[in-house]
Amino acid sequence: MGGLSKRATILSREKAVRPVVVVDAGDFGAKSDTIPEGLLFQHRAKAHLQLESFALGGLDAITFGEEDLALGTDWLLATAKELSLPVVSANLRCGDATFAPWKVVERGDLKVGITAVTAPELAGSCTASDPVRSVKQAVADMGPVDVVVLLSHEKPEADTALVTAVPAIKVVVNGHGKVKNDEPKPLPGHAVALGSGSRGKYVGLARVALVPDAVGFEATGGLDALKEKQTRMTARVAKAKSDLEDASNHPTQPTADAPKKQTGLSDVNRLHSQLEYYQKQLADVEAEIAVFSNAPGGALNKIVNMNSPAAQDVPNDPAVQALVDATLAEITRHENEGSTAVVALDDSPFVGADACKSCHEAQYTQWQTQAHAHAMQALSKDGHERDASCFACHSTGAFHPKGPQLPSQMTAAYENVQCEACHGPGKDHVAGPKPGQMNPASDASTCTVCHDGDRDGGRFDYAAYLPKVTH
Amino acid sequence: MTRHAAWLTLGLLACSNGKSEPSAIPPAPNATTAVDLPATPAPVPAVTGPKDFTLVYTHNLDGEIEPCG
Repeated sequence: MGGLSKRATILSREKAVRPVVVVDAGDFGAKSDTIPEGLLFQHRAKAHLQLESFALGGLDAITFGEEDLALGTDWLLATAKELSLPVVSANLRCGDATFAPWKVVERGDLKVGITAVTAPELAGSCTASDPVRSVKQAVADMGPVDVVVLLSHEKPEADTALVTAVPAIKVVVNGHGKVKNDEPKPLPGHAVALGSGSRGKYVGLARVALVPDAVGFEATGGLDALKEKQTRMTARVAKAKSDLEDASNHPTQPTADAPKKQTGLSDVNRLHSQLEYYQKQLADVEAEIAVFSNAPGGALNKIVNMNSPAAQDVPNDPAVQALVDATLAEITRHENEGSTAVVALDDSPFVGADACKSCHEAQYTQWQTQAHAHAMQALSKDGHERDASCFACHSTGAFHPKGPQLPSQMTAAYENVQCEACHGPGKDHVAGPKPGQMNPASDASTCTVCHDGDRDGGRFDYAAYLPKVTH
Repeated sequence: MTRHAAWLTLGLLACSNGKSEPSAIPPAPNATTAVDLPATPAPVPAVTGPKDFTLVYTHNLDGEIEPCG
């Protein structure tokens, strides 16, 4: 699930029926605030594609986060200029470059004010001035608008302080915390926080109906979600209290009818910590409910959010898909023509599946019938065989300190999910087999490194998948 | 987590592949009953007010241009 061409289709569908205001709150770039030199080409190529697809579909405002600034500010600024990107930031300065601190998007009679802010600690080689002061000034300068949207590249917790200090802000899209709020989350002042998760698996569509003289937004769904959490936490606090009382009243000795009441001091301490944790959770959610339950003192705008899944049944936008395909081809060509030295098996602790076969032929034969043995095919059929974001889960030894760090460092000997991907490097074992040398790979954590519910679209079920690979 | 899984975790970058999920279009802001909710994926409710709009937003794309395979 996901992908820029499906995002473009979702956007086009919405544009066909309603006025849209399109924003991105940053961290479109590499999934790290530092990028190894060998991966810079790939990440820049992908970021350029992201931005080009934004520009193609129409973008009203974007701001930068640390993952974007890690691409290099000179490159980022040049790309923003090349694509005429509407970069907004109230507090970011990169060398001599500053950005529009605010923007007003007009759709007929509608005026949407947009400002943005980046936390100073996330500014990378740029600098960021005081977020609250900067945003306050930006909102004051933008003049009268119907609604103010903040693109926040802050920790999500900081958004509460921002909307409290600048009450004109009524919608926050946080671009740092990978937040996914299916229902708009209530913030102080009847503001709402939106979030569509990470990796482009969803596109946020917040359908807004503004009413005259509104003081904020309804967020009934978000409030209901908070109340459900309050109910859960109330029950957990009660249970934790009960458990703690039991533990305190039945020290040390289990009984036949209550064999679990083995209550040493460490158990009491653990239960006490658990109770404190749930009490804190309950207090936090009650505080959130209290803030949003205050009488609004005026009318409220309506907002209905949908995190629209970029699912397989959403057609690809042909123009954007052509850009995606071209970028992948460019990455493959660059990787294949690169001068990076490959990591030969002789120089690593891995031996490859063929070396295992001589003693473990039955297991080898069984493995060959499974998808793990052909994992690279799944990448190469769509042009991802040299994609640094993909190769590690389709190969063996990637990112081991003495294994390939880049797709171009792999030889065929590392391709596919071989024996050593689960059982660990085998060179010592081959040289002198001893019991306990290899990982039995008998627990789920071996699998969930890649089958984490996100990368595999939630398909992985340990109990169902284990028989397929057991040998 | 096993030791050898740890190095992969530490080094692993974003990678995903897809699972089909039904797409859906959200209800209009003025939708009040289930009857008002549009079927998926269309039709989409018409604009009812002069200041109705959709905020289309993304963030944290994390360099993902499409699922791995």
